[in-house]
Amino acid sequence: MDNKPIQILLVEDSNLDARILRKLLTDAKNIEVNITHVISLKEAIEILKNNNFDIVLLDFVLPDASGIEAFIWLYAQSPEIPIIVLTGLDDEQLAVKAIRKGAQDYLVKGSVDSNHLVHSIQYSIERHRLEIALKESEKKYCRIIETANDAIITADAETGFIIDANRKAEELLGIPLDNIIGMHHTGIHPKEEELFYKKLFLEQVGKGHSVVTNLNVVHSDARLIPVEISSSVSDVQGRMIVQGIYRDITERKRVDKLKDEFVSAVSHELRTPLTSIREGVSQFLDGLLGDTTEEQTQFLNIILEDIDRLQQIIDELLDISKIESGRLELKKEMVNLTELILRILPRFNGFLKKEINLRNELPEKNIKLFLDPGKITQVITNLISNAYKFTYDGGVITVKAIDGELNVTISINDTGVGINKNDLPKIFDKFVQVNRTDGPGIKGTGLGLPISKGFVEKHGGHIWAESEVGKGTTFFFTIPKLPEQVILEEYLRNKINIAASKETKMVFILAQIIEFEKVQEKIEKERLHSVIFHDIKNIVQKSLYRSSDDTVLSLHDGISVFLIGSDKQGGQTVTKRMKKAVDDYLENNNLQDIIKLKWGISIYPDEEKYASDIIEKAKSETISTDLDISKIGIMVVDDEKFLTELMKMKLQSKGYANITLAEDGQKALDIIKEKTPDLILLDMNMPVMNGYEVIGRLKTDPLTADIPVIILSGFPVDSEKLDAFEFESIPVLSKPVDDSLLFESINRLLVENA
Amino acid sequence: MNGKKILVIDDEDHILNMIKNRLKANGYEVIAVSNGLDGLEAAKTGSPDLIILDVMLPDINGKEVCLRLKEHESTAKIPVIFLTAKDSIEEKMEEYDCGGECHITKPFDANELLEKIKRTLEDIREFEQREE
Repeated sequence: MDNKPIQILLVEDSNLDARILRKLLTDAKNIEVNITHVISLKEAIEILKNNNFDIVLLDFVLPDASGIEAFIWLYAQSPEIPIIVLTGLDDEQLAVKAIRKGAQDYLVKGSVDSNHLVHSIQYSIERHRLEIALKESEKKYCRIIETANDAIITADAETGFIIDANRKAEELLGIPLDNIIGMHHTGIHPKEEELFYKKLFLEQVGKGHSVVTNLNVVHSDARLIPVEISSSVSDVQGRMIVQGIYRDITERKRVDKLKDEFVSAVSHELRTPLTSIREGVSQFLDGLLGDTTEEQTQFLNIILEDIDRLQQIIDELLDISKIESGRLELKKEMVNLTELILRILPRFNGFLKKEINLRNELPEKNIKLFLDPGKITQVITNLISNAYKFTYDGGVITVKAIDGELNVTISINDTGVGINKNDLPKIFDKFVQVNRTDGPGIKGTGLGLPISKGFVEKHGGHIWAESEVGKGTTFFFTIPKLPEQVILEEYLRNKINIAASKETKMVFILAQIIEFEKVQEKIEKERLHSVIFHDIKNIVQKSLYRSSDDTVLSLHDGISVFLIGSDKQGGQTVTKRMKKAVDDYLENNNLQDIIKLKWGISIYPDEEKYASDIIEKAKSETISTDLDISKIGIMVVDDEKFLTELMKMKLQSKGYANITLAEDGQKALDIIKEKTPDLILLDMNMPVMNGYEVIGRLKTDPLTADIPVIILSGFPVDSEKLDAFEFESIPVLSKPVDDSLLFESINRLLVENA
Repeated sequence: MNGKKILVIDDEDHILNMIKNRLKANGYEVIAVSNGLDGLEAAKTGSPDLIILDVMLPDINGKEVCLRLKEHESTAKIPVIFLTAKDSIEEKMEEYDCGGECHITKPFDANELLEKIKRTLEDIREFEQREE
């Protein structure tokens, strides 16, 4: 284009104007042009059919078409050629309109000089070329999106409304494209999980980088479809958008499930006969079936060893299948790593009858970590067994733990044969057995190290090995130290996931030791430990009728004892039973003045959906009647002033400090509007508004319906009147009120409504 | 003889007989049944101190048996040890939810089984003493 003359089509009915333009162009120094002049739109269209032009200069006033029409016509005929419109002084507005419709530039006739004209032509041609390239790439991009095998949905980051989607999205959701656009992004997910998706979306927008998550979308036929979403946030001309690629993983999940079921079924079928074989042999060995000769005993021992090996292989196959399908779940709890390691070491006494010195170098201070003790025991055992296999008599194996700032590093060092440098990267691969040169090692399944890797990585740690042939090998793995809040949240999240997958409720009961630091001063550490971790833990478990797995007890940094309930029993009942059992225990051991517990409860999914919210709620809304009693608001409604004062004194003597009095129903309702009490003691016979009406009003207003009420009545209560309101049973105490009965009722209602 | 009575519920006759033999050798009195309904009946009439319950039973599964045991006042407090041949956390969770004390995975080590029985019985005794 630089050397060739620019082919210009000039569409101009005024010969004078045409001459001027021609002159301006031929005068220009650094441009060579070739001008074809026509005087009507018809001619222009005709000539464009058979000739190539680099640019069109179009007058706005033509004999056969004028104004914006002329431009639109020409542009529609030859969109591939850039157009500059020529206008008079008074129709500049029209020219601007033409530019919006796709004209490259406009020139006001009579006020153009040569330079300006040339510049405009060159600029227009270049700009048009770029536009076409951009449109091409946009087309390419659209084709990719349209033909993509995954649904692609774009939403406005600020409002969350969907602004674009592809055909596959239409298929995935069973909703026409036009209807998808304009929906809110939460609308494509299950309704009951709406909040969760909102939060996730916001987190994503906040973080900015791309994330991959597995979630569900709802098809228009109400089917839940599992999808893997990779989403990213980007800034498109100042507008933040979130683009998600939704991959349907129904099939993947089905296959994973089949594989899991298959492995699980096979392992079950293998385990059952193995059980009777193992027990039969061990009853022989234990002499239950009569005496055995020395040779028989020797053979039976070999059989028993091999049964155990077979069992180990089954276990390992199960483990690796779980790791590979991503369905490995950890049962994490707070564990004293030092104790865990010290419990493992004696198992190797006399192992393989080798003379090897197994030592440990553990820090003096106990290391507490949040981990799955079973899995980490398996990792350490694996690594020590490996070390034994490749170490000669007289060698040394050292188990070390280093308590770092962010994580704990555990290392198992041996003075064995070492691993060849070339083999080192392969040792964590499945079924790979590296022959450590000339070692005394025995072959295992080749699954020990990949399983260990899977377990460690699931904990968020790393595993690696360093080795030198002839000198020995050291295996290292790390376990991250998590902040208490994270640990608790992770624990709760696991529980939430289980509840969500089973579509059941989960009740979380959290107990917190009040002023833990002071408690630590008053009671000796060992004792406290045994009280919390043994006694209270036991009591809690008994009241849950369940094993230790559902109880988290953490004394880390001085907080808390946390307990988890479940769906099968009503949370309130369990809490009450648990609280009572623990209280009784503390009293029997004269600890009631030292250890005080604050109880909180939260239910998934009725109330809270996220671990952090559950913790917050359970922490803030306590069921305690021990400490926060002073803050509990109690309202006494009675027309006999003397009685209300008397009641106030009684309540104060028990520590209730926040008491309001009202002398009739109407006044009570007025006060309640301003400040909601936690509990109401209500007389039935009052002037202005009686107790029945007060209850009726309270219970029909959603804001006050949940306030617990105790009826105090001098007359028998008309239960029919109460039933008419369909209340759940409201406790009725007859005057004169029995104090112990009164406080028991207050306690019960406060606990139930916490 | 330590005099404690244990009810074993397992549909695999070989295993049932072997467990019975093992427990008897260790001084326990044993009631052995091979299905869930018989198990429930034996739990009511035989008043065992502890129940060993296989999860996979032909008539009603072990979890259901456990739930029914916990519903009845006379059997609610008898501790249950599950015998399971599977090994998945979800499954274990369900066992705890229906009230099992602990579980033991097949194939088991007899010493482990005996130890778990002993400890469970001790825990129960301790807890009852505390309640009194």
